[in-house]
Amino acid sequence: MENPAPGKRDGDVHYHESNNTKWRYDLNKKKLVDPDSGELAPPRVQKVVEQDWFRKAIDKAKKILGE
Amino acid sequence: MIATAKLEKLLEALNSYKSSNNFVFEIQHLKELLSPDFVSVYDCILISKKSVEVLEQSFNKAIEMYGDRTGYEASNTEMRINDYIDNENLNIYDILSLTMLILDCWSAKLKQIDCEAKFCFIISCDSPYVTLRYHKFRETEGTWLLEDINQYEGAVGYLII
Repeated sequence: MENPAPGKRDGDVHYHESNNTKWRYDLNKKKLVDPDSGELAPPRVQKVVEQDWFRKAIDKAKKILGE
Repeated sequence: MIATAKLEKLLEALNSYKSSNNFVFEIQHLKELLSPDFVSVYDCILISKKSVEVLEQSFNKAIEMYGDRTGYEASNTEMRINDYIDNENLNIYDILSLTMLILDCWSAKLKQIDCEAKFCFIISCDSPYVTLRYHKFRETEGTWLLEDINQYEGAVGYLII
């Protein structure tokens, strides 16, 4: 989770796969999306969203971002 | 380097640090660190494995998501250096030392791509992790960071070249 300039820029929540491929987490859609196009990540990647550690991380990020 | 007190302290200690550690890399990871895939698209230079054509198609959506070119670049040039190194016995000074070398390499490459542009390189440390990213410095958009660097509690800094 990054929130480099609160009030100036939106925060950003993302997930890196083990091969360093990055996916952005869309807080509205509650899905991982392509960081360039906003298109949904493939199901193989999307599975991680359902995992406990991921949900906890998102909850923590949302608290920090004030969502 | 404009840096918070925490990063200044680390950089000061780095000046007198003599490492005896060896780095272990996969050759592909070393290439990705020193010479990543820089892609120019509509006045942005991103690190991406996608083609220019693909990035051009999604460019407007990307600007919508990130707010401006600076946000798009800074969010898509991020590299956590530790993720590309195979050994885990390295300390923050080893990683920072390597990061400064990578910054020099990126700077040279980026200036080859756009010699007119100024680039803002941003280093952030959350020991033992060090992240490097950059964006073109545009007068109209400013840096990706807060204007007052001292508002950050952590070890953060930037260098405009």
